Amino acid sequence: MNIEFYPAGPGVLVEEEQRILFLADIHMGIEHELQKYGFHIRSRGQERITRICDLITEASPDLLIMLGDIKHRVPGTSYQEFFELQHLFSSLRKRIPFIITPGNHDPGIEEFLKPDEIRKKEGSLIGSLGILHGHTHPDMDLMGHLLLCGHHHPVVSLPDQVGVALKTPCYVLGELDSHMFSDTYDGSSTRVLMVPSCNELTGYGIEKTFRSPFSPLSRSLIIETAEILLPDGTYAGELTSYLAYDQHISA
Amino acid sequence: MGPMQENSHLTWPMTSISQLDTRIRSVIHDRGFSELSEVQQQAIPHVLEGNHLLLIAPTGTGKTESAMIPVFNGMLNAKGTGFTTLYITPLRALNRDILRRMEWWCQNLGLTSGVRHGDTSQAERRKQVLHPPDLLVTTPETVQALFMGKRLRQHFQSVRYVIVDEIHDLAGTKRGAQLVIALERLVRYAGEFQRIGLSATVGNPEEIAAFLTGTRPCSIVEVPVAKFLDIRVEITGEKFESQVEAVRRHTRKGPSTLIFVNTRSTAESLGHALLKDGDVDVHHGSLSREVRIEAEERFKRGEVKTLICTSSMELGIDIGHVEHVIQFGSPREVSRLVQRIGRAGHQIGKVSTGTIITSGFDDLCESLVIASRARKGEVENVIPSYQAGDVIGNQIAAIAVEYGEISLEDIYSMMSRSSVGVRDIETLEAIVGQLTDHYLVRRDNNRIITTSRARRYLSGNLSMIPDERKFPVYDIVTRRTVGTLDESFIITSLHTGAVFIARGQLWRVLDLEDGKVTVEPARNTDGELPSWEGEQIPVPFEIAREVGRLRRTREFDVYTTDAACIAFANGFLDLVLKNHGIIPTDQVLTLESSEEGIILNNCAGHQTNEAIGRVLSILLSARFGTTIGLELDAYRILLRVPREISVADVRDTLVGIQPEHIRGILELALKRTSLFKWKLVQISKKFGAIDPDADYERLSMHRLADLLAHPQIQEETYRELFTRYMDVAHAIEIVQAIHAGAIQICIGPPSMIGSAALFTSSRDQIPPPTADQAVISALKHRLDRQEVILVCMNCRKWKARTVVARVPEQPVCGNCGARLIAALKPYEAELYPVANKKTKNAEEKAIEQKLIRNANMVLSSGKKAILILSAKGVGPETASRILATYTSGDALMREILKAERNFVKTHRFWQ
Repeated sequence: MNIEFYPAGPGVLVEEEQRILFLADIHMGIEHELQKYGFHIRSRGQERITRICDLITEASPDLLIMLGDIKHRVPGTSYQEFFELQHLFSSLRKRIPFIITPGNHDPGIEEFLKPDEIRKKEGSLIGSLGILHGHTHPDMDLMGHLLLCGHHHPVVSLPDQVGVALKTPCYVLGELDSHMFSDTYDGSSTRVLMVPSCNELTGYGIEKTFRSPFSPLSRSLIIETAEILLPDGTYAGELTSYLAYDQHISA
Repeated sequence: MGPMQENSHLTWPMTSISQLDTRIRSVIHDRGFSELSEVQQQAIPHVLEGNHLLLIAPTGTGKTESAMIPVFNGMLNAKGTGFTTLYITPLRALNRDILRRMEWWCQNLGLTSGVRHGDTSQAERRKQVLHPPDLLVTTPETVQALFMGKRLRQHFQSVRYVIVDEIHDLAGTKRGAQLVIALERLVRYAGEFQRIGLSATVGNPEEIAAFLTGTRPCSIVEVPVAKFLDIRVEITGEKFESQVEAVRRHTRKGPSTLIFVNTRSTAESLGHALLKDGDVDVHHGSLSREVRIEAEERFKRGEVKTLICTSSMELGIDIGHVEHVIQFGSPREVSRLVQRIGRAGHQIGKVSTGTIITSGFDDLCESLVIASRARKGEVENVIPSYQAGDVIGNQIAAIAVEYGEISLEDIYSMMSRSSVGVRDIETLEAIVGQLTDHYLVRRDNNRIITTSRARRYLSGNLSMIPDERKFPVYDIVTRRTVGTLDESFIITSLHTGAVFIARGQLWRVLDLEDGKVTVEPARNTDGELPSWEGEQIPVPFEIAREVGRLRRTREFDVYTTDAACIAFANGFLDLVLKNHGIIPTDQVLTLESSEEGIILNNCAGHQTNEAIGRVLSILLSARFGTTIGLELDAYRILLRVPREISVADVRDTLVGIQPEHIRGILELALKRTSLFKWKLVQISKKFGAIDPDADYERLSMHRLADLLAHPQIQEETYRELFTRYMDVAHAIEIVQAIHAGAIQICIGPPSMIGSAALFTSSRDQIPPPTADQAVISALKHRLDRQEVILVCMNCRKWKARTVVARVPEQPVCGNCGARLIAALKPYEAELYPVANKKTKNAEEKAIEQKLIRNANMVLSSGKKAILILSAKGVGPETASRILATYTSGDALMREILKAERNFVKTHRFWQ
């Protein structure tokens, strides 16, 4: 298995029999939603689409898998989404085959897609990898594999002696406690790689997510052994070092 | 005013009186005036001639009447169907007094008057629409609101006079800029009306006149203030009780006294302390309107002899006769002192007496300097906000709503007549572009059209005053609200794990939910968090420099005759010298190292120190790859630095600053700081990008700054920061003086001057410029904490478990003293007994070889090898390759990061 990191997405490419590029949580149409909450900015949908297309050119995958939450508004589809999603998918179809694992923001997305472009939301296998958005309990077929998911938008704050030096999206890699999904499962361990969000406006600090987990996967993640990677593949240490409070950072 | 005379033989110069209408003359007589003040004599002819006028005079000199008498004169012959005169004043409270006087005049002249502001009842407002008063007393915000009413706008057509009261207070703010643009909008309805500005003393009258009238000529009448002031400075002890005693000594003496303090909390504690004296009351902005009005009335009636107040009392509210004014603590600016002491001796021509009560060396010196300048009339300049993008944007949106649809050229012609509006049409177009992004206006070729959002935006943004929301802080342990956090904190620093202080306790942020910040108690903090709570009044550069000079020359006796002050000042400086301290002056800059960090003592005022402090922080953070904490006040800069940065490093960095690069460095690096982000959000709100009640929980806050990276918003943020917060010009001057040798830099021991509490400061954190350095920092810390097992490959009988940070430069076996030590990761511990077996198979021999290779690396490269070997996925082969690059410091860290990244890409990592 060969892994390549693409910080411009951010996205990660896994090569087994084929080169598969993974992106998560594009959340097209989010600007329209934000207007409701008092933020009035023009849509950056076009910039996002361009960025994704450039990424495809750079990474040259055989297949693109989008791990859910491609659209944002629930329920329904806003005008902005309607046009932008069409534009996104038509741009993609010109370049590369793709698959979507639907997320909690994706109801209604079937209207924009061909049937073979959608997989089961509880997860499915492709090669040795399990793929799912991450808001549901994983399908039992996925136990024992490495799962790639979105949904958690992980962001990490890198501190130094004086304060927070950098806040960046990140990957969380760890093992799941399979007993939370099945009493009888007895096979090899199940691991997950949480892919950061492609959308510039979303993000949840891992400090909060893993203190108060909000999904089956985050609840079942074994904190002690989980690790953090930056969008360019830099190893950033163990998750526990970012959750530990009242510890002096300095030696 | 003298007593009324029986017959109407009035003693005025005939030039003024003869031009006035007989009705006015008889009303003047009824009011009991027998002579005009100097101010009135000078001002009235200008107004009668129809000139625009800026009238500059201290409080209590009859300014208002100077304007109103000739205006009433004109109004008698100019009655229209709408408003004839707008009297605009900044504070609502002012309106009451002015209105009472105006009501009296109007009643006696057969004119109608009314007041309109935020608290005016609906009934009253409706009446004004149907029967517009001849004279309307109002506020700048309400003027904006008037434009939004169709019928109200029509009443503008008959406006002949606009008076802007307390214009010195408006001119330096965006509120004022918004108002004068509104006046240009008014011209479209009324034609060219006459403008009269009433001002306290300012250092730059011509600029303020231009602010009022834009491209039109303006007469200026100025009455100097200095001859009216008698100012003394006193020193008391640091303890609050002695300060209270000093105040009491004054209030016991005479009748009515105003005591100005700088903060609301001081007002409350002083009020509480003096409570037993009986006739004391408190007045500040946090109190309800009723309470404030009552305090004013009681003082006016003489029921209360002493009134403790904040700047809420500064503007000309009429509270009757004030015998004496006390300024508690340094007033910070000459204009503040002049205005406050000007409240005393309200009668025209009398001297105003005031006393500044100081405690502490800085306070005393600053007050001496300010008092001296006040006597010479050296008042600060008030600088208008020129071409402020958010003000212009706000007004474009308002104009679009007003007209529904209007051409770009028309907007331009309105705005270009004002001194604060746009100077070229390209800028106007750029700002319009920004507004379209936020759906406030639409553009169709050269027509600007309003949108459905615009009206709601305007209702929430009538004022340019930034609204700082407060978020309650909820402690999940005690289940109680323990305080509030300002919006600025939420925007710039909120993240789970952030630590802050409230009510003297440390709290850690858990979450922002349902509009509340949930927290838990924290035991220690990894750094002070940014804050601008209680934005303090900055001490100007000139005053701080003069304080520096005073520290050097010690000519206290030139500034005061008070023996106690002179003795205190000299005693303080002598004590500093006795403790081997160096005194920072206008020619000497000192550096000290303290528990908190490194202190640079520089007498340059807040804004210059802000510029210098930030440049220093940025350079240090870039050089050392670490965040720098910054706090400062007018005389010192505190840099919170990690241990590896020394005083000498700071001095070298300071000396190495190239003056011509200062602005560029600040521009480049400002974006990453909290101050910038906070201002960005404030300005974005005025541009309509963020609603006043926006839900911050819906967004990842740290991205907000990127989100708002629009050119116009950015430009305005920079403009505001460089005009109001950072003084680059003077920072350049200081650095040039350092290079020229005119200012010396000395490193000294901790001194009383350096360690004076920095509660007046602004605080911020400067993060390192590139992600690269943050990551390197994180790596260093991670590796330092990494557990390592040291094993002796010589005697094979010694093992020690420790962390990398505690490993000595050259580890030595605790058993046999040899240096052939292998460094193992904890999970490799079992390899040691394997390598030490008496008989080994091939695989086990290979393990032994690996450990020996490891130990050889440690033998030749010491701790560096151990550091490298503790990295993720780095074994002896990779480690020896890294060692062979002969890099160290940051370059070594990058090699390690590269090696770890390569490991992450391999199959092994993913197993």
